[in-house]
Amino acid sequence: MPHQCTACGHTFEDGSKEMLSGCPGCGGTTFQFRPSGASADDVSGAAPDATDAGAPGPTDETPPERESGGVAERMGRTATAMRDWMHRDDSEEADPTRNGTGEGTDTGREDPSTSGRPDDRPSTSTPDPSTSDERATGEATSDTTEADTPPTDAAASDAPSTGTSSTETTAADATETTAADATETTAADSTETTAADATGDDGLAAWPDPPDVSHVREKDQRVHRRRPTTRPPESERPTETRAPTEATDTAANDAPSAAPPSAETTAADDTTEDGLIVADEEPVDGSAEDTAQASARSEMARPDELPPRREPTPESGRVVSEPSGEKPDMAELREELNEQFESIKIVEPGQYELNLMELYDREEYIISLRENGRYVIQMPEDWLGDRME
Amino acid sequence: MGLLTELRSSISRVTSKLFAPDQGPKRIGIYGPPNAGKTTLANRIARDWTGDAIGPESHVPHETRRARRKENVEIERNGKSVTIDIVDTPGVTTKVDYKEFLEHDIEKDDAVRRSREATEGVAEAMHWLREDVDGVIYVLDSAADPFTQVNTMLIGIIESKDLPVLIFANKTDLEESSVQQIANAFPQHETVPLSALEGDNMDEVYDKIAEYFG
Repeated sequence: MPHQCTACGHTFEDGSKEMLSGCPGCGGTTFQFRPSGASADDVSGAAPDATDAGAPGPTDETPPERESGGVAERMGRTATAMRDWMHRDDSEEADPTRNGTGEGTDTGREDPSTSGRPDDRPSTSTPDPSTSDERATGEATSDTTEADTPPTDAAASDAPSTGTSSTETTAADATETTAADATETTAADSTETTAADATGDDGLAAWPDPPDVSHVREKDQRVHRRRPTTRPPESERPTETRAPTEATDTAANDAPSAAPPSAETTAADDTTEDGLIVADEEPVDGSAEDTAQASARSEMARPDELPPRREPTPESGRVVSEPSGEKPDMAELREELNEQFESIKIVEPGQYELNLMELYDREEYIISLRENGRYVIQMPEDWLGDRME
Repeated sequence: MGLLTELRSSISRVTSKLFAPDQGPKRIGIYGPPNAGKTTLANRIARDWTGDAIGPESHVPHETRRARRKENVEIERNGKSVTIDIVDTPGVTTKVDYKEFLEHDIEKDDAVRRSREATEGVAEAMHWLREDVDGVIYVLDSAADPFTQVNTMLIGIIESKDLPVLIFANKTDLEESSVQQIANAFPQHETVPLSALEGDNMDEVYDKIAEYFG
């Protein structure tokens, strides 16, 4: 059961194209991915990681999808790449100066990671409260010490600009929205909330940069796509939701004051986005939560709790994985998914489907196929290198 | 690493050709779907002009699962000589199924291996098409339907690359052969009828090769 619709439970075979246009059963666009047999291993593998490291971002985790081969493998690889990014970013994030400098692209990239990171793997795998608690505290402290002060500054300075930019550019842009959100959150955090927020803030503060938008967006989408995979069972969530909600609320409330009114509306949406990202990337951990996560989670719960807020934000359609998302995103998503289909699909051992155009278009040369669905390729760099000689 | 070395040397050869296009023989890829008679044709040409063959021929599709080259094939036409490198490529297809081999009395394990190799072969053929050929001889079984996805796609790619291409309507010795159907399928290209197996119409084949790739 590699893919399953999270709405109706309809399952799809690995590599199924049906789901590209949404679940045929219920029209849902959120799917979770469960490679057969992979989950147990991954979970166990991930858990120790979290405990040992204690740090927000353990470096070496294996994406759950890894072993399933074919498309799954590819997705897994993407996941790893993403995570690597994120971890890199994380380590950098620790540095408060960064925020001040406001490196556009990098910071932008960091965001998803930042928000999502803390809960990552432990969440899915180990619902161990002690671990998470420890971590949370650790984070908090570190954040407070380091990040706290600088972020505030950054937030303060950033906030106005961001707010304005978001206002100007139509809210439709999710990324920008996020940016606004980020700023708001930051403001809120600095004023009151826990250090945990600070982490979220750091990453978020950077978002405003317009140039990054594309990157961020890409990332978001990917993350969303993957999100189903990592998503924790519904049962876990409720517990977490409560505390977070508070945080979110505070943030939301504070935000308006700090940022222009237009930003406000966005803020709500943003939170949503953040939340999604968090949820996606990292299996949400029951116990250790950042404000970012909290807000994220609260977002999940929000439709029931705070319907009025959500309504004014049609821009949140950006969030690709939301079933209610706008159509344009679907096209984008589909395109991205299509790109992931392989040039050689192994239907079963000894049966292959080949995409000639893909084979022709790809620069690397597939030298040999392995039984397990991997293949050996020669990367184009080598060829070019030889050419130069 | 032997394979890599081989590839590298082939690439560097192409590279040198890229930078000095007038030197050295043109590399002509023999392309087409499986079982069209590509290897039979390649062997025919190689035997006629060099004395030895390129690779084993077989009724079993995907017999050629790696591209094979014959270099410096010198073809004399009308007092002039044209030198080409011939590349016999694996048959290109969009589906490879080991069950196809079972019908030819091949054991399952072997059939699965063959299909994997055949798939690699297609990838190789496509890669050669992208990187390494200066012209294409497109071989079709004139007794089979030419209107296939593979043919359309490959001819399209070849056209998009502006490579000189000749369509060879092979197997004219078969009763069901219809050269006209082949010609109708690709009216924009010159179609040459032949039977590589019987050696029918090879004179025209060499004339056209000299004309197109000389």
